[in-house]
Amino acid sequence: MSILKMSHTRRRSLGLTATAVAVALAAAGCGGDGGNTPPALPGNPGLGGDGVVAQSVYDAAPVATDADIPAGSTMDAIRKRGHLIVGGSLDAPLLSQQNPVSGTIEGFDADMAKLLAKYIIGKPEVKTTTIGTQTREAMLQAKSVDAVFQTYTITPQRATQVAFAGPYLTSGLAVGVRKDDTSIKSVKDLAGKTVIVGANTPAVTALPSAAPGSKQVAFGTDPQAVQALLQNRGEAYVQDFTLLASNAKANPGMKVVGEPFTTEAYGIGLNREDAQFKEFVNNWLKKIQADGTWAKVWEGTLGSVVEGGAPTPPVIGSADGS
Amino acid sequence: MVSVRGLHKWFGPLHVLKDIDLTVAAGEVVVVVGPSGSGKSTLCRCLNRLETAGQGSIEVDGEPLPAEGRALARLRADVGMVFQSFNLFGHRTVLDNVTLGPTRVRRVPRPEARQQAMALLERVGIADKADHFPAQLSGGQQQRAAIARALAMRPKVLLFDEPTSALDPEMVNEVLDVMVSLAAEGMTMIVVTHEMGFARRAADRVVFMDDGRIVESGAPDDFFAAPRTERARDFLSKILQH
Amino acid sequence: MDALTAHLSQLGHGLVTTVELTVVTTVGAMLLGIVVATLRIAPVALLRAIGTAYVEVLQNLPLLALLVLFVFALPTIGISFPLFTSAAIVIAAYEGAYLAEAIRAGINTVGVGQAEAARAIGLTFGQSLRHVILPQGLRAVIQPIGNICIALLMNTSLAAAVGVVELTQAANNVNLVEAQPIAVFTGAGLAYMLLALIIGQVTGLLERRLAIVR
Repeated sequence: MSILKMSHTRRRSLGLTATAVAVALAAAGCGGDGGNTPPALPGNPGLGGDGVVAQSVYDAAPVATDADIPAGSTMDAIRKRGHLIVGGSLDAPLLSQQNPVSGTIEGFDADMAKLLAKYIIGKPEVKTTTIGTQTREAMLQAKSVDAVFQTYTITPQRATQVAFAGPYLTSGLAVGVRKDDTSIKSVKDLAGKTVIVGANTPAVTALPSAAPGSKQVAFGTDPQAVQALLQNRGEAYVQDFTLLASNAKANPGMKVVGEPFTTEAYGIGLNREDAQFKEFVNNWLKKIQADGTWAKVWEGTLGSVVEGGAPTPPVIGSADGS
Repeated sequence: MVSVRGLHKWFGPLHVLKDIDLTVAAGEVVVVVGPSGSGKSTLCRCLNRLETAGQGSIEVDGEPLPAEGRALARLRADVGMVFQSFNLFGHRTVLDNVTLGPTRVRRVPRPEARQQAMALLERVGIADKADHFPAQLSGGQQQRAAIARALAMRPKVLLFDEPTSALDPEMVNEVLDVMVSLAAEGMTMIVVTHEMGFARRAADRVVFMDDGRIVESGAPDDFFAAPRTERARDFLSKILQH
Repeated sequence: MDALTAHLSQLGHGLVTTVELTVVTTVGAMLLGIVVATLRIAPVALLRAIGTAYVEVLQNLPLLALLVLFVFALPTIGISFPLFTSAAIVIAAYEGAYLAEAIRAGINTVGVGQAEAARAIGLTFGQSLRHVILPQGLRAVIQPIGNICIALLMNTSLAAAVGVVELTQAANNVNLVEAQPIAVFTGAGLAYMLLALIIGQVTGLLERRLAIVR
């Protein structure tokens, strides 16, 4: 296993403090059911796999040939440097979350980043810089990171600032409510209601049209948002479907209602001027989709909370802005 | 008016007042003299409980000094005090310094309090400074304002703790003149001072303290002409030499 | 610039919330600061201990942790306030500890003779504080109090962590759509700077107006 080095920005470490407190609250039994069930720690869900991608998947993953990496290209620079610099998160369960015991970063985004590193360098060497949603565009423009793996929704506005390879994952927003709630059956029932969202998530921009007149209350981390729902600070929690499913597994007090009501196409954020690198990353995505690596990563991470097998991967270039 | 019995006071291991007995009748003017560190200021401060007595009893107008609280505040209103360093309230004008006590403690209506304050300032000779701030006044003027502030409470007793020691020499007399006229009007006064001239002119009695004790007490003429104790003779010879 | 102008009402609402939170919190923190500073110089040992404990506890915890605890832990024992109210209470309590220390420093600049003179004319402890000690003590520390108020303004952005959509959160939301962090946060930063300048100006004005002639 590679040793991942992290550099924290100040704002991000504040966010971590909040997470730590929220986790401490959960551990103190504030939100739990008080029984033998472990407290609500997302990222350690109880369905199927253990949320970790097997070493064999890494061993079998493709590596680019020298012909794919022309001298002087971005890929060449990364290969010479010996590690890929990725902008991402440490607190996104199932997507990119640091394991408090081993210190490694686990989840769909994190594993995809490591596989890209292996494709370029031959080893899954990644240096993760934790970034906020506020700073992604600026970090890419300044070339402070090579790529952003952070459930970065592809939009035409963002595509004027950065380039998107992919989409490499599609998901959608869904509605979570308290277990005893029978009045809300889909997003339409949220019109005019108070809705909890994650700060800086796609729900913030999607809700005004999907549920007109709804009032948003945003919380910084997913555990806080779940706690807020259970404490009646809103009627529902709108979040990515897989994340909600994971929360519902861990929290007997909440459930997911209805189907996802949006389609979010997530892209790998890249510098906008570097068309060569974007084409390179898209070619890699096509390769790992075709050889089944993509499906194995999905099953090892998001698949641990969603029933049924891996979905069909998204078509590269299919999203407006990719 | 003031009656002190068996008063002792300690500052840590320091025994600063030793078995003090002192009675001051209404209308009497008592001047306390003695070398530095003899305990005369501490005695003065004990009388309105700015210092608490270690042992013994103090009565003012027949009532024992109350402990901390509203009763003590009421008593202090009846016992005026003039400090060595004036202690005028720096953020208030001279007039507001004088009216603060009457309006807040005695509940005198503001216009009435102002009228009385102006009369008092007139009397101590600084009515024209009523709207000035303390820092704009000379030391002598400040001390006269402080006397007006104390008088505004219509006190039964006035305590003076070395009222002229912080003044330039040319200002001493303007303050002493006010004090002499107060004494002449029958105010009960206890004055700690080094001004022997004032003691001669205004005191009914001189009390000489040394090393925490009252060593000698008597009429000023007798005290200055023929002190009975060696220590008093020694003290007088030192301060009257020049 | 379009990124800002297209969302003026959203940013405006955030700015108004920031100003409201700052004003409400400043007033609360001042009152609390005066009470706590008074406790710390009170003649009763128990009161002094309470004042000291308050300052020590609140100054030694991160504001964000206090906010999260207040918002998420209190409901588990049945106490729940609206989010804006929660944020205002916590920030006022937190900044109140800092103001208490500044005010106490101001009180310490007032000579002991002033307190003695106040007591000597029969004022009670409370009256001495109100009419003699605090008016002079506060004047001595107007500048530090102004600085704490500016810090308070900046700290209101932490309310975003507990669901209050103030200026920082509004800027985040706009950036989520526009993906122009430099324009959006420069705009928000200028707004904070303007507010801080206003506080600084008011502080300076008060200091000149209330200066004690010495």
